[in-house]
Amino acid sequence: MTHTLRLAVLLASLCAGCAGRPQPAPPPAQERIAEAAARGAALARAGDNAAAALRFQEALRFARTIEDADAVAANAISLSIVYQRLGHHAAARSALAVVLDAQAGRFPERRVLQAELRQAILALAATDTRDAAAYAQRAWERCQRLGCELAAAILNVQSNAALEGADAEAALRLAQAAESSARGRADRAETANALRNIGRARARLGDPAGAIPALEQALEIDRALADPRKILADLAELERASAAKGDAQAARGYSERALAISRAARDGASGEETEVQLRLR
Amino acid sequence: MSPAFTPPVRFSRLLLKVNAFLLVALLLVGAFMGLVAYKQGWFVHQTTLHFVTPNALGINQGMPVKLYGYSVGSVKQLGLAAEGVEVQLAIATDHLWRIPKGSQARFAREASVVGASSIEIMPAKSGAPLVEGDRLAFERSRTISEIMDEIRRQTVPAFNELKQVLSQLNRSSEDVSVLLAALRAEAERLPATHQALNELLKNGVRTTAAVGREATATLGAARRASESAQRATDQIGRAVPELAAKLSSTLESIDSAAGQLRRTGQEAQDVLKRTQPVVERGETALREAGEVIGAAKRVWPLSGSFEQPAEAALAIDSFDAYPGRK
Repeated sequence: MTHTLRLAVLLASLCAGCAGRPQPAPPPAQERIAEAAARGAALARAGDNAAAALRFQEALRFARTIEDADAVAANAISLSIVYQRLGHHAAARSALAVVLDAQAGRFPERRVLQAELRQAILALAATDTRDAAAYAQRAWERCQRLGCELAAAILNVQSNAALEGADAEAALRLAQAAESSARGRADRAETANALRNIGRARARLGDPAGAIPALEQALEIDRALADPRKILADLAELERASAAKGDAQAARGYSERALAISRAARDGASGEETEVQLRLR
Repeated sequence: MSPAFTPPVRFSRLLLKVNAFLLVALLLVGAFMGLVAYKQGWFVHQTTLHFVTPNALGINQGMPVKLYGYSVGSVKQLGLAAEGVEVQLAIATDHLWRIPKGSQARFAREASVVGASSIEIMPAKSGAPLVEGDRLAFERSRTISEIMDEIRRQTVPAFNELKQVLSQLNRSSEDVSVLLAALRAEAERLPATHQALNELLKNGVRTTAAVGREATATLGAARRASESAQRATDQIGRAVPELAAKLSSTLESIDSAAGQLRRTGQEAQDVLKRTQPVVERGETALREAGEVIGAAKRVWPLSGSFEQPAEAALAIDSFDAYPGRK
């Protein structure tokens, strides 16, 4: 008993020795910004984009009251993401304009780079390939200078832009570079995006059989990441590639899986589109 | 010719003295070596056992081997083997009968995680004693970092659970606040409802009186009409007071219900007054608990257990540029 007590005292002393004072708490205003932004991010991850937008707006307002440029830019970028998911594209662009239209040096360069990449994504989603390529190029140059962590995402956007511009060879080259970069950083989301682009580029180049392994790898990663939007995209690409290869049965299998996911996710529009395609076969 | 050398008298029998000195010195060195050999257990018959470990970190040659905390041998030799590192143990043969087949060896420290390290034999319950060259199973005890990792693994879910419960409580308290506010608003409206009900009751009484007057006039007309009608009128005359009595009792019960409602409203207001400080205290307690947990999360060793939301911003995903994402 005494031995145990001694041991306990010894361990407690050891822990007390190791434990230092708590790290200083951040100032209350910044804590409020961080809390609102963290709640927004959690809500967005849970799929509640409308509630997330309110939180990011709150965080942006707090950040403006204390002129915290980094927090202003970060929350403006997050707002642009949730606005895009809600379908408010003009609002998404306005949110980014806060950073992109500011004087040089007003915001940290890392945030400007992120805003440029987001602008490229928005432009590409609006099928404005030229604008997308221009912003992606600016982001890429800035990234090269800073040694940023978004290289894979930028390359993927450039690959997407090349695919939209009907330059499948350039798209394949860029997607392969993106895959290599993403794997180097163990970034699974961008690795899957790159593999999806590789599959799409190969299919465009007339090699649907070569596209399928890349798309299946992308599907495997996206299933591990548990993102239904991406799983749906992978299955749609696999369906197209299988149909192009002449494997109608496999194409139907992928299509049925996509339909099941659409129904489960209550993605009405996509579900209806897939259902129509199934009836046409 | 020089005269023959004659040794001085004081060096007489010098050779004998030197030999005696050397002999004594030799004996002393021998005795010392014997003592060292005895202490090292060279005169004790030892049996070699061995075990194989995938990682011999912390095991050294000469490290004591203990049985029930008593030293029964030492680590004789270490060498690389196909499965890892083969460690040979020299065990005093006298103690070997206490180590039956199926016994295990493990790397241990005297004070659990700190202190001198040794190889501890954990004997099997029964069986034939081990013999020369037998192999022991080896179990490596956990290091302090492994123990801390284990503590972290066990505490993190508990803290996450606590965090979740607190956030749920926080959300529930918001719901309760909304419910209480709605209740309070309804309770405030009760006096007005009561007044409206009283008006309704007064109107009802007036209407009943008017009905009574009209019934009397009808009775007079019926009396003048005919005798047969008189009987019928009499019946109506009997029925009307009964109806009036029933209506009156109904109105009384409505009045008592309204009184009950008023009392309930007053009680609800009292309850609201009493619960308000409790809710306020609950909110304070939640806020303070949040602050305590926030501080605890910043202190080692818990700080490593909680993921710091270094970047609360959403991650930029190039998938948003995928066609059809518009």
